[in-house]
Formats: sequence, C-alpha cells, structure tokens
Amino acid sequence: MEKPPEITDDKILTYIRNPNSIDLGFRLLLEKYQERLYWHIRRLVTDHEDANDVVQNCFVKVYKSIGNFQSRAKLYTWLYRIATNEAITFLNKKAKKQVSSIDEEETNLSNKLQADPFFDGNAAQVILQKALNKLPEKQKIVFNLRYFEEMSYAQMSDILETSTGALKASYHHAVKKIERYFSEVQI
Amino acid sequence: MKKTDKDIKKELEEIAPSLAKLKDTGPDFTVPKDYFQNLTDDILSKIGREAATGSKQEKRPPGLWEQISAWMATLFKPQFAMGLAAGVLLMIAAFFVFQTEISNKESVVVQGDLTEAEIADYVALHIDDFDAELLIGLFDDLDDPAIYPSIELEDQELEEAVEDVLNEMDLQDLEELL
Repeated sequence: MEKPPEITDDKILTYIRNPNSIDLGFRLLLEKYQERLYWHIRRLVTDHEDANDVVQNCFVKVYKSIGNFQSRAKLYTWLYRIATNEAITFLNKKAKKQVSSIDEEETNLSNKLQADPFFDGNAAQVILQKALNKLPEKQKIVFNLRYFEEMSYAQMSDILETSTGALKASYHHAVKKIERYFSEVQI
Repeated sequence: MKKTDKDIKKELEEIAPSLAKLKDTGPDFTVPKDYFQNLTDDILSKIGREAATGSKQEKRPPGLWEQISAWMATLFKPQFAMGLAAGVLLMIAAFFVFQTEISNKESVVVQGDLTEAEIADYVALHIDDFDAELLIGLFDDLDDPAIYPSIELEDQELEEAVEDVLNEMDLQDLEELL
C-alpha cells in the first residue's frame, strides 16, 4: 500500500497557530519529526534511556517556544537545532559528573555497548562507535548528519550555522580520522 | 534514492571505501518494541504534567519573605533608587526653604510691623488664651496717653453719668461705698 504524502511544515504551523487546533498541530509535528530527532539525539548520546529523556525534554522545549518560532526559518532546521543543543547540554552535564581517563572511557563504552539490549551492531560497528567517541563534538555532529542521516551540506549549514565549505572540511577530517582508527585497531 | 543520497555514497566511497561498505550492514542501534508508537503520547503527557506543575506554582501566593524580597528588588532598581534619592533631596530642600520663611515671619512680628489696632483685635479674639499676669501687664499702660488717650467729658455729661451710676446702685452698695 502506498504511504500517504507527508504533511507539510506550513500545514502543521497553520494548525499550531490556531488556538482551536494547536493540540492537533503539535501531534502532527511529533508524528513527523519525533523519530528523526530521536535518532539524531541517539547517535550523539548513544544510550537509549538517555536519548529518550533528551528527546522528551527537547519536545517540551519545542512546545513551550513554538509561539516564538519565526516563519523565516525552516521548521526542521529549528527543531534540529534545539535537539542538537539539548543533546550537547546533556553530554556536557554527564561529562562533568564523570572523572575517567580516555582509556577507561573507551573500555566503558565497549562494555556498555555489549551489555546494551538496544545495540545490535557487529564488531565493526562497535569500533565505529569508539572512533566517533574520540571525535571533537562538532566533527561528530557533522559526521552523524552526513553519514547516518544523509543530509545535504546546505541543510547542515542551516542547522549548524556554518558555511558548507567548513562543513565539507569537517566531514572529510572526521572520515579520515575514523578510517585511521579502524586501521590502528585492526593491526 | 535521492540525488543527494547518491552523492553522499559516492563521496564516501571515494574518501573511505571501508566506511562505505560498513554503511550497507544492518542497523546498529535499536529501540524497545512499539517505542515510536507510544512516544507521541509519552511526550504529550510530559507536556501536560509540566503545564500542571507550572500552573500550580503560579497559583501559590507568594510568602512574606518573597514579597519583601520583591519589594526590595523593585526599590533598588536603578530608576526607582534614583527617584527615591531625588525625593529625599527635594524633601530636605523644602524643609530648609520653609524654615527660612517661618523665621522671617517671626521676625516681622518681633519688629512690630503690626498696628496697635491689629494687636487689640487679636487680643480681644484670643482673650481666653492669655494668662492673668499678661493682661495686668497690658493695663499698666493705661496711664500712657499715647496708647490710651484720656476722655474729656463736659460737666453736664459727667453729672448725668454719675446720676446713672447712682441710680443703678442699690442702697446697700451705696452705704458700703460711703
């Protein structure tokens, strides 16, 4: 059966701006974006429970501030920006609580992924997660958006407010670092 | 597949062929069963709970300390503090101005700018406010012709006046007088 066409952002915003249909509008927004934003956040925070908390907080924030959303920006850009900020804030708070060395972190991540009931990745995918964990924050976000979410540089530029040239360079650096990590681990 | 997706795959194959191959393997992360089916309702309930908590906090009347703190905070805002300081300065200035005017008025009275008639009217109106010694002191001046000029009477007028006084007096008063 053919999938019904996806509702447009303009239609969702029209519902949200009408006090009589705001709940319907927000439900439609959730149905359209919750899964995408969940995976975006999950790729950054790794753990499902953490991703679940962050995605819920993210949409609470969206609900509270949707009235201030300016039509000049694209809805998905705005949502991705909020989700990215929420995930980074969460990771920074978590990092402050943890006091461990880089080697310990690597071992912890490996053990965590093996024990995680919501991680079905093979050995190569575990290595990929470890390599991603070593990347600087911005490179990790750029790599995730391009590699997993297959986003164009123009879309990424809107979300991250960075030039496409800088994003291309960032992505290439990230890919090269990951490839190098793979070759080091397999030796 | 969209054009962008093809470009992404091609780009990856060129710079990191091993990563491009890894991309074709199955998903690594999973979610609990029916997670996305329930997520919408979970988020909407969380929003509802937060809204309820928020409105409860809004309805709670502020405590005494919160009221005092708010009042102090308002008072010490720059615009209010400036206004307050200006008000105090005005009050001090007004105090000095009025003090000077009052002392000026007092000195006018002391200098005797009031006429004798004005003083006499004032005394007549406020006779009860003066004590006896002050009034006696006032009558010491009766002999002073400058203040109280003597009344000149004709003999006939004098005789009539005496006769009136005698008529008004009874016999006992007259005996006591003589």
